[in-house]
Amino acid sequence: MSLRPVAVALARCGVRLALACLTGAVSTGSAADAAGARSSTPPDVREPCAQHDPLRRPLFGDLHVHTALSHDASTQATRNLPRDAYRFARGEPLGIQPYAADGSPMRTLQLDRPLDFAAVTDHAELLGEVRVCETPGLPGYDAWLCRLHRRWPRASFFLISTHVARGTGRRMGFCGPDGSLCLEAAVTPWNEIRSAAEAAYDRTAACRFTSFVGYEWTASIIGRNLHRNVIFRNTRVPTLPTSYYEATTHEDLWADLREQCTEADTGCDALAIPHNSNLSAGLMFRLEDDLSADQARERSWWEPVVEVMQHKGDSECLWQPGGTDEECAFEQLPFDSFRGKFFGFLKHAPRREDGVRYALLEGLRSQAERGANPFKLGQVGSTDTHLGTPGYVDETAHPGHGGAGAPSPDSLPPGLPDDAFFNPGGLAVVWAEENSRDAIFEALRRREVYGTSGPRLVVRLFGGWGYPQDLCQRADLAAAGYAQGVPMGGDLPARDGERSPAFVVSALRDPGSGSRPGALLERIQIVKGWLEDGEPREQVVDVVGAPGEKRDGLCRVWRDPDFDPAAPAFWYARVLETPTPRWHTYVCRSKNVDCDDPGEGLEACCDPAIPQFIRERAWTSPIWWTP
Amino acid sequence: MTRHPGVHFLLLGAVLFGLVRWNEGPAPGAADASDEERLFRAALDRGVARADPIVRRRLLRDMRFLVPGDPRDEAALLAEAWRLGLDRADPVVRRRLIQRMEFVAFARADAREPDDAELRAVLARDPERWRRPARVRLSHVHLSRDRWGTQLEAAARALQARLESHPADGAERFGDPFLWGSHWPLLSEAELAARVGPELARAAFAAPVGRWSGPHPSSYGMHLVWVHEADPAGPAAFEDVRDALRERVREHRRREERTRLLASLSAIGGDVPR
Repeated sequence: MSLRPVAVALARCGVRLALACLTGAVSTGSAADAAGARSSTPPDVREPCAQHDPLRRPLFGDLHVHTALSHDASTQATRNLPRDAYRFARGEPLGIQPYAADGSPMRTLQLDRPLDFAAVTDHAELLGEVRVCETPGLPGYDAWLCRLHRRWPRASFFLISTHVARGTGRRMGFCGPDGSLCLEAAVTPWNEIRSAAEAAYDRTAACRFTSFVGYEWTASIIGRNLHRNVIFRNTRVPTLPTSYYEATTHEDLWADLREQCTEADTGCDALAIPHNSNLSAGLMFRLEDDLSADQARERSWWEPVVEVMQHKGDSECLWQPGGTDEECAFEQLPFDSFRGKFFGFLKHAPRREDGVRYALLEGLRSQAERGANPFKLGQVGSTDTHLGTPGYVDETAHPGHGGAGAPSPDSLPPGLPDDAFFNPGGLAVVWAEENSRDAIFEALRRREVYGTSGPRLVVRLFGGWGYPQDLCQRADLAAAGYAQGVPMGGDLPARDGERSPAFVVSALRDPGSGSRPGALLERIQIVKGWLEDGEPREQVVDVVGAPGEKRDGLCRVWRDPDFDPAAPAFWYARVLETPTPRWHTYVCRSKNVDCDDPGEGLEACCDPAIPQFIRERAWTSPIWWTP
Repeated sequence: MTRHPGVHFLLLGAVLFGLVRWNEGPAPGAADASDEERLFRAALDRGVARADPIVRRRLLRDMRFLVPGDPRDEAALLAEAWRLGLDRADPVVRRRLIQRMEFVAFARADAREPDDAELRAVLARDPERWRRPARVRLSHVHLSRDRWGTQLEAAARALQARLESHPADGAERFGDPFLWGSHWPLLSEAELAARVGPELARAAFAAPVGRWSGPHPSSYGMHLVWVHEADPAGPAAFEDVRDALRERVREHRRREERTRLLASLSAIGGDVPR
């Protein structure tokens, strides 16, 4: 074990209790340590699901959802709370701003198809709350038990637990004579989030819907985004979320999660999903030169997947003039951070190093140099809705990211309901045996997941050595896929003879709903990254379909003709739909915009830099080869 | 307890407060203040802002933005923020305080768990709302529109003839593979539509049990369908909907408590006792 993590952990102890710190420092550690903690996670208590498919099925969800508990959402007039968001995810209609004087919403949204799962991830930064024992100046702060709590949290946890278990019905003394101080502390946003998730989780055998407790750790360095969503596996979660105030680096976030979750012996388990690397101005995937192999493995353990697409753009690969992959020019923001959005003199073009593909390539380099890959990233999409409307990705009726980016309590601003370069967001899809927390969390952990830019298209990817060329014509594609190789997110097994690896990729278009037909598929591409003489290389191959084709489904067994067994590599699939109108095109058409005088807020309708049509898509997690 | 001097003090204070308020009449504009405005004012009047760490943090941030480099300590900065009335001007503080008031109402609503008798009564009042949806268990044979193109309907009719004397087991070998598989568990119409589109889902629910039907069109081509089992819609089992009923009751109580809180604010002219 290197000394650096210990030093870091000890440095963090400045404000912490010695006992807790030592515990955290001694066990700071490797992915193996963390995995050990995880393996003790007991399964969630619930009825077994009636539908359990060993070959797994795709479940569609949204792992990035804000409600009125997020300060930026509430100041944009969002009133929906986590309970409302989950009801919406399950298919119920939901009112959104603006609200009339009598409090009734002036717009109502409803999903045309419910989601299978969702996580409300409000910003932790302003979820903090009245912590009776931790807020100097509050009544109760100086009570002996609070002092104990601050000095020896585990001891006070034990005492308080024992007290509750005695069932006296009375609160501890520091809660005040009538318990009101603690009652108030208990009715906090974090508890609201937890109880809303619990209420929404279908624990019956029907397994119709899964919710996750989560929050967003909203780190930002002078406008450069380092945000992560923390998703908990079950109800056993820390007493409070860790915000950027408590943890100013992602390493500190993980240390807090270790201490309060994975090593707390409570059955807690968690992972973090980075997002909007496209807004990090080169920071999200920058690696320290002295990063150790243990630290690289730790990053990969805490962050097995990345959010590749959401309201604020696509992060797969950042388009630059002269680039060879034309499909990178999809839902790109015109700047590299929010400071560039608000201050013209700080505006910088999107950076290649903020793309997930860049991170995947750097991961290969790290694997070769350090023996560990910190960026073994599966890919999901989500929305980042600030209206409390998970999964609302309809291009034909985009209501905006929040209140159209500005406070709008009484009416909507004229023109487009959002900044023109934002979009309705994407979805997270997992291949799971059943719709339960354990099954979905495990899918995220093993990266058997993919992201879409909104459509519910289905895609499978397997990699192996011996797949027969006719596998696409066989009914046992999935069974053979697992038996003879690995699914998306996995590592190719040891090489079989002198063969090149084969990949079977199969996709079905979004079947559509009663109100909206799904678009057809155009082609599937394999994106390959590898190291050549230590330098990252990438290639995009159309493996089935072609520009202009229109198909219900596409399938191909593709063998990599240029495979070099000595070079670390990854392959992922990108499935493209036929072009369809972008969300703003629907608005512009409905308003009959005349480009000689587009009208207030509708200038983007005539901006040639914003495409009228887009190819919606899916990105699978990669499959890796490590020599 | 009733002899405690503190209780006398509070009671006397409340009476005096009420008299003063009655004499003053409603606060200007209070009668038409929105619910949120009333909650906000009530939170300010109760001093919620001063004890709330989020409000304090936000106001410190405001002060540091307004007066960069101000060397005063946090207490002094906060005192200045209160003096300037920043707590009344900052939208985050406003939202936070409104939520704090709402959470007080919600806490009252959540304080008592509804018992089973109460939940069963909710179920009995509106059994239609809680009905279990109809479901079918089926096998299907798929013919791909991509593969058959203009020959699709002819191929589907030929398949229909071929399957006439064939059971569902193993029949998939006569069709094209389907990524979702060919033999499915009990699914509702919505679940079926998520796999094959609404058209085939509707057809499957009208199909006979125990024999082939179709060909039926789907989002992907044509299908011959064998329904093994049709589980009709029916009243929900209490155990299956207990959690949902509990949530329903909770929502209802929360709305009631919020209304009650607002009424208590209105009753004294848009303001509340401290």
